[in-house]
Amino acid sequence: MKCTLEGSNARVLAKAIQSLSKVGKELFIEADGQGLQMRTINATQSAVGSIRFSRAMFDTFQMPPSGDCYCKIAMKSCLGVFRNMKQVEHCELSVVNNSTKFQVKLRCKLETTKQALLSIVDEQNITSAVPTDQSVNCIRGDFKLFMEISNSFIASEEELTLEAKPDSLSAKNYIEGARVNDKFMRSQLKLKPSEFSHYQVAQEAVITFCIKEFRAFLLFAEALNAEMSIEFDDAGSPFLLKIKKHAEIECILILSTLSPDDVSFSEDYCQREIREADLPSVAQKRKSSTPGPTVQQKRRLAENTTVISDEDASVFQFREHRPPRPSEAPSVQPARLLADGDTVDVVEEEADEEALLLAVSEAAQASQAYPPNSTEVYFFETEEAPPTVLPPEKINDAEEEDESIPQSPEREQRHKLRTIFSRCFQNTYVPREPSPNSQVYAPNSDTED
Amino acid sequence: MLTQSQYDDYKFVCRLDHIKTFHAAIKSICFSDFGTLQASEEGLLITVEQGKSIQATIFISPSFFAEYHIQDSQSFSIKINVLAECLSLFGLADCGIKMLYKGEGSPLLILLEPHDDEQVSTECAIKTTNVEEPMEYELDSNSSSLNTIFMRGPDMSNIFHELDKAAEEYELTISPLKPHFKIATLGVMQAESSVEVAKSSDMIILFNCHATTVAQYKSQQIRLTNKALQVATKVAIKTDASGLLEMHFMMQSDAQEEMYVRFFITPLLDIS
Repeated sequence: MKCTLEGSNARVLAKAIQSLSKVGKELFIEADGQGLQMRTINATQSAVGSIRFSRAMFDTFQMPPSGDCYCKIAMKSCLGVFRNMKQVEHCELSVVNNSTKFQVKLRCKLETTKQALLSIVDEQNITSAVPTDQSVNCIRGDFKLFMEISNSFIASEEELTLEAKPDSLSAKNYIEGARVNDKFMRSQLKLKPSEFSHYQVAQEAVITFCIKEFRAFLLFAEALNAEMSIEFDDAGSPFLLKIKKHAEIECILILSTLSPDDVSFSEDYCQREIREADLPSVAQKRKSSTPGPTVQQKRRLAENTTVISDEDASVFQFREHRPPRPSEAPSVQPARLLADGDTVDVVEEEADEEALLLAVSEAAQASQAYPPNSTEVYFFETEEAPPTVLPPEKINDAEEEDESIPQSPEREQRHKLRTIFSRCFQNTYVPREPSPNSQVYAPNSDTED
Repeated sequence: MLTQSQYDDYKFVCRLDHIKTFHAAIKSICFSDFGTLQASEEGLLITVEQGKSIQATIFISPSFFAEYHIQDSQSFSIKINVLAECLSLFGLADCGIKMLYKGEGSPLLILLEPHDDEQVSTECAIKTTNVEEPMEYELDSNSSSLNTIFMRGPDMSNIFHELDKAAEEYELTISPLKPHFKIATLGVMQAESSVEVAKSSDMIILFNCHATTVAQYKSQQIRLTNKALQVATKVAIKTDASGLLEMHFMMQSDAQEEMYVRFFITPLLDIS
């Protein structure tokens, strides 16, 4: 296989490789009669990116006698070759040495030639059985729009949620009803269908996907100055990102989306994302939050005290039945209130006793309502917890709870344990004479004995 | 030689109005602890060596200096990075410098005065030690295989900069036939790369090649020339069949005065 490209097309190829490098660690190159395709798959196999260059992009294009060519090369070695493309006037790609090496020759200004021989790892290729033309929802727009969406979220953001309705599109970094700690900044961007060149949402959907690969392809769309289209069905189905330029370059990124099974639904469409509760940080936050006069802070405090008992349970196990939470307008306030009665019950059923003790005792400390006592467990209703006044309309009905619970039973002195496992409490090595009843297989050969 | 009475005590005195080029040159040879300074009527030489495989020398002729007084030939050794640090005491501000040396055993005195602030100046005394004669490397100028290339500094810098830094060895080929000038990287898993420049290229000022020479060098040693390469306006590369690589970097001050830094790098022997 051998093909040549002229400078500016070679630069586009280099940009494609740079975008693909942000997705996967290996580059799959497939060449057939219609053109050259570069594909990659990410480590978790949740994203497949492919960029296809039609034959028209190349000055010359020679196929091997077998008609097609597949090779897999390490992404890192490719990146080095295509890093600095400013001076490149001509590029030649070929498979040499009996299909063991991929050769890149770059002819640059000032009569400089750069050449690289990259080892072909093997002849694997990726197949994805994902239908790419059957999505019910399709949104197309200039890359600038999607760039704006991407720039609205911080660089370290991991996932993006798109809520597509026939009359609006909102991009968020969270899922409705997700339980997150107070430090989490929720962002939302709402767009009108009129901003896009094509907006078709036949079926309402809320999809969540990894933003890293999305951004990688967005970068390529920017390099091409092209339109991007996103196609999807609903949560759990693949999310497709397509870029097309002049019928010469076609890119498609297939991302997997968060399945609805991973989040629980309730009637009013509340989704939940189970997160590993950041126990110490939440606890610290509560310690520092003093009973202040502001309403918002109090609400947060109230939420925390019951949330913590909820969250530590979730650390240990995933629970499917959550009490429905009131769904609020997403742009409003950061803290959410829980229906307290249910959460308290749940805690009693399943939480690990020790963790609970720890967590709630800290809650007790923060509230300053009762003197802290490490062995006492305090449950308190949200109305009573802080000494300052809470606006009554914000607090849900709470069950009557005991204000204090008697001291938990201490560990009994189990003397039996000691006698049963007595050997455990002795020195590790106790040289003993073998019993006279056992057979001596070989006499002691130590000359000193 | 020394005419002013105040210089009677000093065997070597020199003054520069702008230390920028001098400072850049000193920084470019800071790869070893000690450097040897040899001052004579022909000029000032500062030599740094590492092992027996790489040597760098700065040549500054007396005309480069605003003042240059020398009594006999002086040579001594100082810690070169200390000298570089003294020169950077005022950061990037341009300073005037005066160097004084009383004689054997006495420290090298450096007086720095920044131009932007007349009220401040600094005096440094760097301890000197007895000199160890630096190795004499020489390329036989009459050798039949002596190859010389003069190249534009920035272009050469770009080429070297783009070489794969993970490579352990660089192989340099100079030939009257194609490839005329080629640097290949060796030792990188899964990727071998090379850069070739044709002799007709604009970046080559002079190409004088008699016979093909191929030699390998440790990439880490070639990279020690990076700092000099970045500030050089012209680079001369000379080598012969022995493989000894001589690189001259010409550095120009704003006043178009020149100083040279010369590197000698020994090749890696091919044990095969």
